[in-house]
Amino acid sequence: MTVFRFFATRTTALAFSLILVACATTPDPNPALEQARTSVAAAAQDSEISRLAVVELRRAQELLESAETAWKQGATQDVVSHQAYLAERQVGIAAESARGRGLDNRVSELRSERERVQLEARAARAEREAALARADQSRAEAARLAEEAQRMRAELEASEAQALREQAQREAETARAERMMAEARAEELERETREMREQAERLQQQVADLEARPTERGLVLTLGSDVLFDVDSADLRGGAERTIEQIAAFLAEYGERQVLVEGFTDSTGARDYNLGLSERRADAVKAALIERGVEEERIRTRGFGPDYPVASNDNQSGRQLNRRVEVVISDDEQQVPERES
Amino acid sequence: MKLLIPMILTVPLLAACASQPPVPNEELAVARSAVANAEDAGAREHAELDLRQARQKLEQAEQARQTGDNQTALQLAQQAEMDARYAAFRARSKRASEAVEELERGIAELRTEVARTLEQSTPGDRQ
Repeated sequence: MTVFRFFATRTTALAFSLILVACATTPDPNPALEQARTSVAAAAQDSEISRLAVVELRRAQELLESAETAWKQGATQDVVSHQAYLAERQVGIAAESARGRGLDNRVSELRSERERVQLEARAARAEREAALARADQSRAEAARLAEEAQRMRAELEASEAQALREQAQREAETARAERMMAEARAEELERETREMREQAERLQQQVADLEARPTERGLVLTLGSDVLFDVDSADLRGGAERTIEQIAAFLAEYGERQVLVEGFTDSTGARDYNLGLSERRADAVKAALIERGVEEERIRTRGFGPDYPVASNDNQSGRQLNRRVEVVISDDEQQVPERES
Repeated sequence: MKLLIPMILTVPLLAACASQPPVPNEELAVARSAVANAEDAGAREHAELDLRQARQKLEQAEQARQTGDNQTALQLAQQAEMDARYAAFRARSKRASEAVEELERGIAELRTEVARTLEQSTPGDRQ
């Protein structure tokens, strides 16, 4: 069994050998094929080729397979070398294809990078322009600020000087105003003093003119009956006019003063009659004063008849003194006090 | 009988070995097309040797065909096609390589310009 098999195998192998030898001399090593094998193996190991030229590499492997088959099948060296050459060329194609694609990818990357760098360049140029502009501007700005600072200092000094001037002026004006006020006050005081003195003098003069005598009740003017009235008469005589006018003028000037007109008689005749006569005489003077502009409410009248004689009724001259009217003018706006009985 | 099976298997091999292939018109056309394609790809400039080799082989293939050596014509046509295709790929990758170099040079110049420009715009740069 084993012997037969061995024989049979031997026989078959011998037959094959004879056939192959008959066709192609021997599967001698082919340098081109061996080179192609090495190249294909190297290409398959190359990461770029195996990645970027998959189809081309497979084609190279197929061509190598064909070459191997031809070689195994005992094709002529020429045929095997041709097949190997095709495989070798295909390996080259795969390599160049991969290289080209890699470079194409690199070109794309570089184009992107160039765009980025161009942008950077543009940004840098803009930056430089900005920096130069900033420098120019800041120089101009600095100059402007310096100028402005100078101007402001000058203004400040000017305004300080102006302020000092103005203050001095204000102080001078104030002083002048105070002086003027003081002068005015002084003048006023002087005028008031003068007026008061003049008024006092005038009053004194008037009082003197009226032959008035100052008393506790006020100024008392005694109008003698010889000046004013006839015996047993209450009509004012013509000569009384001037005295009445003087009194009216005095009362007009001192508008606040009140007046009390008191009438008197001598002791001759009935007392009641004399009281009436004295009242009529006082009323006559009041009427005359009202006639010359003195307000009625300022004037009161009293009739005392023979009371309060100022002289003796025993003789003619004494009785004449007692027939009289006394006009009492208050020293102020108060009523003239009544006689104390 | 025992010899019959190996004999049957061996017949095609023997036939293939002895047969004269038909006129490789198709392969020649493909090779011509590949050469033209390589020229279009700039192989005259970038893969001159490979292109020349392809053309020579194509020419020889034509001659072989004319002499009736179809086997040689077929092989040369196939090799011419592969040479031309290789030339085309090589031209393409060379051009790509040149493009890369040009881009890298341009980028380097730009970078230099950027650096110079930035230097000019640094804060200390006051005249």
